[in-house]
Amino acid sequence: MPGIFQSLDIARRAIWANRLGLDVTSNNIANVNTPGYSRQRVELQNAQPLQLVKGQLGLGVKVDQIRRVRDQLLDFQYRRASYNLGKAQIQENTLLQVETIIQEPSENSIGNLLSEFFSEFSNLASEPENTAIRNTIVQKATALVESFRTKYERMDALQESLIKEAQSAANQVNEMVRQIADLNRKIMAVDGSGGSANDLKDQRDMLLDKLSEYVDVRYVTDDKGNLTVTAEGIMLASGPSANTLEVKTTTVNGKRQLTILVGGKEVPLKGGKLGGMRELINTTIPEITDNLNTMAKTVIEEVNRLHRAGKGLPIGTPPTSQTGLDFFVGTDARSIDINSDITDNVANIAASVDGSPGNGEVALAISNLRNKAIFNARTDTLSDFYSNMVTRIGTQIQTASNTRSAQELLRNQIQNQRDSVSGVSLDEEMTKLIQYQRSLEAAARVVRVVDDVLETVIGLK
Amino acid sequence: MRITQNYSINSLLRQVNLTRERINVYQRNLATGKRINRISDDPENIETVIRYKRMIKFNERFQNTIGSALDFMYFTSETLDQSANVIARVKELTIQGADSLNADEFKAFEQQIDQLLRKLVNLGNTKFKDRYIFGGANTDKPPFTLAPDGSSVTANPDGIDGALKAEIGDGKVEQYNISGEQVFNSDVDIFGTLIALRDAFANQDTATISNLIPDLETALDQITEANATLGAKIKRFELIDEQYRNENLRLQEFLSKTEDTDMAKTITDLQMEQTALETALRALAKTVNISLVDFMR
Repeated sequence: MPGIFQSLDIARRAIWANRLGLDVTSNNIANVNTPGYSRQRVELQNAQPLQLVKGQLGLGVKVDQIRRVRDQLLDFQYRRASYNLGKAQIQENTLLQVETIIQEPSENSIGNLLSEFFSEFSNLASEPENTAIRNTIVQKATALVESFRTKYERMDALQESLIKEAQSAANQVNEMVRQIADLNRKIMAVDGSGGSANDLKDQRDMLLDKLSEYVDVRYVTDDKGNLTVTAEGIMLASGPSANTLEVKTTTVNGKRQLTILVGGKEVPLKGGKLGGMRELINTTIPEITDNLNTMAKTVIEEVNRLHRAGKGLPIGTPPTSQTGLDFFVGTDARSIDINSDITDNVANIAASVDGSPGNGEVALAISNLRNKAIFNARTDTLSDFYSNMVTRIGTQIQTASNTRSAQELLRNQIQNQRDSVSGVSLDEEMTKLIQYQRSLEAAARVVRVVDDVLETVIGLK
Repeated sequence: MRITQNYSINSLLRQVNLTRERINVYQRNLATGKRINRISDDPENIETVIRYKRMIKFNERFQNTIGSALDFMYFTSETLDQSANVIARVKELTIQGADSLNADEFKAFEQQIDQLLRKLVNLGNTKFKDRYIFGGANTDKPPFTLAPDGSSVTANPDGIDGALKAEIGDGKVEQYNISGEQVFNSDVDIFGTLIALRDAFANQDTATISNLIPDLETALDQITEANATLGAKIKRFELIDEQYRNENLRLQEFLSKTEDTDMAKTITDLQMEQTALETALRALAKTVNISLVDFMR
């Protein structure tokens, strides 16, 4: 038979549990706007009952644990959307810059400048003696070679700045991984002693959210609270230990290549900002630069081949026509320039096939290069090649942009669901507040009643 | 579904953001008047835009070239008219002079024909925009040189029969000059005929004078024919020019359809988005403040 103090004990536990409920509720309210915070719940259980002859007597309430409300599957989906989004974002942003470099459609695009260049040669073909037209050709050609060079330089600078960005991204990843390892250590210490490090886990989950924007991570949590993070099968963090990402650039065949390493071993990242940067630096940008180079190289070679066979206007005493001169010098978009023999004297532009000043057949042949299949093993014209290049950039941007908005939408939806599961609802917390308050008052009332009973008992004579 | 405060704020904010993004695009399209401002605005159609622009550019180039060639041809035609007049005058004088009676009269005719010969050589050496129009491709040197003693006219040894050509369509090349060879030295050597005529007057050789009259008729035909050929070519050039004008109007229209903003539609869309934005903001302002806290003592 339990003693009279049993009831007092039950009431005490009830007060304690409800006060804890109030504490947890106020903590929830306080953190309503804290990013990454998961609402917490006091899980109550009835206490181990007392076995009596006539049956079991309940001994009141017991706090089982303070649990954070969180859906692991949503977390997983959120992070997958995150690294897809991270990749698409950096691709979209970079390609939008490429787009401003290409400047299509505008007067300064290479396409337009090439048209003007060839158009002016057509003009020269009909009036080869005209010095004004010859000067215009030099002007147009100058604009063209400058445009090639500027575009090449800006693409180069874009690649360079991406490499710097990749390095700083790798540093951030390393910092996050280090923090995760640190949190692992602390969480294992708490969880090992039977508790649950809710707030630390929130922090760690948030780091993992952020980390997945940079790297396509895989992760697994064990029952001791240890989180293991891997990327492409290579361990980044496990328990208290963390590995460091290293970003290296090498030059292969004159092209910059970015390699991401962990402990000297390559990690071929495919997703996340870092994966996106790797693809941009190693594939997307060199492809565009290559196209610029091919275009410049072909124009240089084809124009020069025709120009060398032609003859300029007769100059000097006795008047002689220069022949065998190159129009352009250089070999690619970086080095293309006009032959100084041409800029020094525009009479050296070889328009004539036989040296007679009214003959413009070479100028005509040069102008007609615009319609000749001189690209891709002589299957594509200049405009085919250029249009393909521009359209491809446009399609790449559109793909990246569509992926970005789809993944953004997806991640927002998942975030909404996460908010729905883990977010703090003030209405709900207020209700809980009242609920715990009333329960606490009731428990206090029990103490009073027991007190009255005790007084009665003590007052017995 | 459990709706928390942050949930509703975030989703409304996202809505507002998306609306603002769309408004931004509509505003840009309205401000520039163009639907395609960047490659990514419409990658499927960017190729069309580039192609139409290039076609317009080259049509304009060909129109310019045709214009310059036409100027050259108009001038040539006029010079040919003047040359024909000179020959006609020579013929007139020759018919009159064949019946001359005394040495003074012969002398007067000889002098007149010599002057006309010199005038014709000058016409043969006419320049347009610093180019000898009858010099063939050798436009920098006078095609005809009269010997100081007037005994002969020699053509530029580099040749005077070359062609001046203009590109008047993609890869379509046409000659636009009439060579000095064709005008002055094809069926009959005009300068030679005039020199022989003058010398015949000097020698009072009436038989030779009469014999040269058919040659003068051939010479007149030769110049008139050249001018007729040129006239036909001028007509054709003018027609092609007209075609380019029409084609460019059509191309401009296509281009505008592809790349220009549909103003009416865009303005309507913009207004709809603005209404949506206002509604979303109003909803945001009204709902986020309400919670159970407001109703507790």
